[in-house]
Amino acid sequence: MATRIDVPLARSVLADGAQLVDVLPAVIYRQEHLPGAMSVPLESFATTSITDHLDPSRAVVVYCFDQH
Amino acid sequence: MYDLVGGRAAWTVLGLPTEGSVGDRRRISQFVVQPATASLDATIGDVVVDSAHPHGPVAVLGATRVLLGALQPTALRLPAQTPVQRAMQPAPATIRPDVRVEDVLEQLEKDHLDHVFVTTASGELVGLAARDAIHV
Repeated sequence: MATRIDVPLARSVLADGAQLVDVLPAVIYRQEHLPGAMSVPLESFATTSITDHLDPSRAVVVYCFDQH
Repeated sequence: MYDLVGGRAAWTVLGLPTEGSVGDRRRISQFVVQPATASLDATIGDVVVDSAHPHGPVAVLGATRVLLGALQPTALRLPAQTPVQRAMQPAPATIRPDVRVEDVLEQLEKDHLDHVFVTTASGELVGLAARDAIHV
């Protein structure tokens, strides 16, 4: 279960080394994404697990477009 | 695992940078100028107008740079001891920093305005979007 955090807290967590994951479609990611974010589109979850892309020893911040 | 509340939109509405082929290059946050500012408890005589933008409004700021009002250039002709709080236009119209610059220009033209303040969703001043300072 993910913990919901706001932008100031997310910036703090990211400054501490968390990984940032953009789950928007890849074409949207290419146009604009948060600095340092990696692209793991939601639609890719059917064939891969999000954990395949991540370092399990570090925190993860996930974002979509707006509310979800 | 953390879930960013409000997603990418919550980030861009604060005027924070983004990356990508489009990124934040077309957002109004990249085109703002910094207006002269005054505090709510100042007097007209305290206001120092920025010589680079002598015809623009002065932003009246409260704590944490929250925009409370605007002083139009004509207000600066009032007696020096006039409190800013009495001379300002309270709660001026604002837009958010993530609005696309083309949309801002179109709206300014439609509304016959030369400028509009840009603030975060919490009201902190980001800058002034001035038609004569936007070159796209």
